[in-house]
Amino acid sequence: MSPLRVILCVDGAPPEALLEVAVPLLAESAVWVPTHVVDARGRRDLGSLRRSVTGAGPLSHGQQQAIEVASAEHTREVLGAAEASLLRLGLAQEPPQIRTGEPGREICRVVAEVGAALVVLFSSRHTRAPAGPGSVGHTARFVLDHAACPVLLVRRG
Amino acid sequence: MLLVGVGVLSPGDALGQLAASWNVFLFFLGLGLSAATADRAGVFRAAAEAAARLGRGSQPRLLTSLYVAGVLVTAVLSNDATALLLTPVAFVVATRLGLDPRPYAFACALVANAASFLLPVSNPANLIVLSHAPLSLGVFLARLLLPSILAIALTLAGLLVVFRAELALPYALPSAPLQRLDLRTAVGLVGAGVLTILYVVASAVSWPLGVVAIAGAVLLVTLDALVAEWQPRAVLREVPWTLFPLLAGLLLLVSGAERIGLVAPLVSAVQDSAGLGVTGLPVVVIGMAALANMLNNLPAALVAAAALGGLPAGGERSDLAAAVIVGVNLGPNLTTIGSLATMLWLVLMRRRGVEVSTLSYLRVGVVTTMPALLAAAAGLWIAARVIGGA
Repeated sequence: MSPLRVILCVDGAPPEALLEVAVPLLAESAVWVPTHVVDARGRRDLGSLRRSVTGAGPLSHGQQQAIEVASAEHTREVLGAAEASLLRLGLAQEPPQIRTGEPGREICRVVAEVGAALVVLFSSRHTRAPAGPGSVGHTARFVLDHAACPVLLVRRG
Repeated sequence: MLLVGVGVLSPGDALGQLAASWNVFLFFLGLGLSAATADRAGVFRAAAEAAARLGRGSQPRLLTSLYVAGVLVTAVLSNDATALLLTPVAFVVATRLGLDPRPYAFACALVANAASFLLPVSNPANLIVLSHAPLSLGVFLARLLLPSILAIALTLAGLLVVFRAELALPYALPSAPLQRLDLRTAVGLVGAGVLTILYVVASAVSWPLGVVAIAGAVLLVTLDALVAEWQPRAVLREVPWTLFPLLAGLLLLVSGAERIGLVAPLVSAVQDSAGLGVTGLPVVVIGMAALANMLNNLPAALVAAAALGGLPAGGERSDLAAAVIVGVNLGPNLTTIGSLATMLWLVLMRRRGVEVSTLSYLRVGVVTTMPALLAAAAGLWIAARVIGGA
């Protein structure tokens, strides 16, 4: 029987916060798949912003490259932290999944491709809001609605 | 070309028109060169990283620091430098810190326009208006400093409100240190400082700013070449050349439209508002903002400049010129996704299934720019009354 795969969605916040909640809930040992989505919407919006407010053309090659480098460095940092905390807790892990696009969509894609049994993510990227309307962000909402497996949302902070 | 072809303008007229605007063209070239050199020297990168350190983990503070950097860059190197060169750098720094880069991109794009009337050199549109209604630096500052400060402050306040959710989380500086300030960047910063003084002095004694901009560019390029490699082609590649034919085309288009009477209603509207005295100024500001939003700021500035040229010189024309400058500069921020035409196009795109967050953009524009525009108009009204009364 293949092991239970759990998607661990990381975005730069300490992954321990997710693991602390998720690990005690799992009856059998699972294999963790750290997943990070590079949000492509920011770059698309930068493009339309340049065209509209400033009438500027596309970014130069050097500018694009600088953005790629920064984004790759951040991805490496985030996944490094996830790997380290999984190691520290002695949890089994598979190679990380790195995607680019809209986070919600990409997470659901990874869930389907990996055949995950559970996906764990923060309920919101931006706010440390307590319970109440608005505490579930767009990405979490999308994953909750579309993921082909149970979803565990962890409130931040 | 078309205008010359159909006989609205003779080729001689067309060339004459362009030659008469030599100051504006030289100014564009000088600024483009200065900004590209400063960018290559790492001045923008250093500014954004200094902002990241100054922010000390608080996103609102980071945004404010970057915004202040944007004010300085815009004042000295003009709005294009902020929009073209500081915005991507701010985006890179936010991405590196793992933050949503959008608030920072918006902050830089909006401050490029909001800080555009601090100095005459802060936006080429100012030069176009001033070429028809010259204002000395003292007159310019007396009228526009208060509106400028109000517009800058309220745009920042609007940004902090609109993006409060995105800005709520603290951030940590990456473990790898950010780049250290090297000699080349330091020289670039000094050069930019000298350039600032040069511009202020030149505006004060009314030298043609195009010549000053070129002199400043030569200074910056030379300084940079002394401490780093001399790479003229690399610098030239980064000058936004496409702006030149665009500007030439606009100049001809507006003068052609003027010739056949298309802009007459607008011209008479601006001239009529002169009769209203100081009370008419806020109306002109808002009217020009709407026009700049529809036509874009350079064509709006050209049309308004033509109207101002027809008025007798004096305090009244100076007030109106200031009102035009405020409106033309702030107008494009109103709908952050461009003019009404762009909005319609985006609605069509959305129908075809392309996701566009037009509404959220509109929200940014309305919340940041409506108060800024109204406050700037009120500030101008106060300034004009004080001056008029004195």
